[in-house]
Amino acid sequence: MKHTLTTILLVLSFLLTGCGASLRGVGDMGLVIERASGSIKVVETTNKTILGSVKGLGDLSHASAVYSRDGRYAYLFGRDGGLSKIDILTSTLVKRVIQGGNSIGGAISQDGRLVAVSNYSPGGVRVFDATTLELVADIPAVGEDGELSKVVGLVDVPGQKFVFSLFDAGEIWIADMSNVAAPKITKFKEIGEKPYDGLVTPDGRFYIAGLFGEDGLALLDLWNTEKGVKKILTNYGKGEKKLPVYKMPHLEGWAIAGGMAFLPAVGRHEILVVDTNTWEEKGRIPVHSQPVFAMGRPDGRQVWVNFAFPKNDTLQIIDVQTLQVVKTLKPGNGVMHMEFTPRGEHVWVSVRDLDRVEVYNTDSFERLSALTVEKPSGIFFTSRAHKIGL
Amino acid sequence: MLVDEQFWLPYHIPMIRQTVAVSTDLTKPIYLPGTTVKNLITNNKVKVAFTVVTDISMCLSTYFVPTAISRLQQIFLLIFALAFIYPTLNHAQGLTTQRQETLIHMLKHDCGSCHGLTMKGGLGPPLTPDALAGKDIDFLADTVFFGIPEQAMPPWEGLLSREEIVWLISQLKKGIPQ
Repeated sequence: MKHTLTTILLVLSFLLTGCGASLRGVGDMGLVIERASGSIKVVETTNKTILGSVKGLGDLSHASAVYSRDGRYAYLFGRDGGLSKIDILTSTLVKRVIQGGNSIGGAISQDGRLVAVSNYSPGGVRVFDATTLELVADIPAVGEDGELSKVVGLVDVPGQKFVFSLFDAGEIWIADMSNVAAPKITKFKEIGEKPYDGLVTPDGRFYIAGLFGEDGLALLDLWNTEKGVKKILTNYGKGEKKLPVYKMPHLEGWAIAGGMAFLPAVGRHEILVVDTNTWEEKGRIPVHSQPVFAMGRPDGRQVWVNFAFPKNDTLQIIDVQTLQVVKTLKPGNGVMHMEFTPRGEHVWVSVRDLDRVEVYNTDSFERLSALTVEKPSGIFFTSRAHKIGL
Repeated sequence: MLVDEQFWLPYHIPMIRQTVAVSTDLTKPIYLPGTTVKNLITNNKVKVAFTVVTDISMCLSTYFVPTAISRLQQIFLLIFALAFIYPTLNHAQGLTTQRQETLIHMLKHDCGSCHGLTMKGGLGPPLTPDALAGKDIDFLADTVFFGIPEQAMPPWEGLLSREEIVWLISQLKKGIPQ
């Protein structure tokens, strides 16, 4: 009797764990946001398949994800202030907390122990324990004007720090989380009008905030913070009429190659090329429409660009050597996001209105595969786990 | 008499308003979507104007120029203008189901990139029925049509017609199905 029971339990436990499924790593895995249904698809890039689905993640109309350093857990930041911890190996929701009213993005600390979320309301940054999702620090973004400001462009930087921008107040803050109980905040004021997003260079040295309210960008050298914030590209587009922007550009995933950085212009149908030694304009590449993402292939040879409504059916590929658009693809309406496989041989593209994620060969531009994903937007592969600022 | 527009037109109720006016020489109707009757009368461009409010219940309101005309003339003009109102009414409801679906899709996914997929706000303010309560439709339509250049709101002129904008606002005021 006892043996029978043991056998049943053993069989049951095998069934529950997927019949003793073979071990696998997470290095070729990732997730795709399904923005309308509040769910994600767990994917793998080796055979280009969908492995699982996780539902009940709230409003993901503007969502992003970061990974634990072991690549197993994704932390998902939803528009409704939801912070979800997902185990992508088992496609399960580990924990979910509503940490704010309206959030925009997040970051994971250098040591992987803290997850920070930037909020529109209440304006500020909240920091959570990566294991338990318990709140460990609350940093309200009260600007010089005394008002709470929306927070954008939150990134992690070396030294267990987070850097972010205050949209309404026009400030950049550094939060040193070495002592979680007492975060040390360094504020930079009057950095420019309406910073709308921020990024950190892959080496973690320069933080750059894009400005919506004026021409130019705000640059902070994190190795020399005493020098303060410097405005760069201030003469860009002077005296020209700005074109309407139907979707704010993103700065995440920008390309740096051959001493140049490529980033989407605001209100102009151009990609800006910046010399990363002098931070001066090196050129402009005319493109199809208002660019949203300008993402560099991991080897830095190409930059892939997608566009804002109403011309969001197009992808353009810039060759970094010649600074020319070498290919224009038309996947379909609602090209939302692109993500390269870790070494860049393929790129995955979300085509929202076709309910499809398409996979392209980045050399031949041939479409290799199409996966059915409901209203896909952001694609996040685990290779982000080991990159500063992602 | 110039009737108080607010009295006749309940702005706070989401409705599609169409203005039909009769020109001063009484020869041709002027169909001016999105133009308020008050403006027309102030500019002395019309003799009589009708604002047609279409919703579940349909009602008509009439505006007269200050240089009053006789009651008989009023009735005559009302009948005269009504002949032109019917095709306009069709026009007011002339958004095909397919176009309405496209507009709602656009509202959720494209307007939603700033205002949130559920219209609860993001970089842009919330567009929920509560948030829009008491706000003038013409003011809201102008905001969408011309944008707010110093903020991040782009002008939708050229992408959407005034009629489509007014329809979208009326949907937002009712609350869009999720």
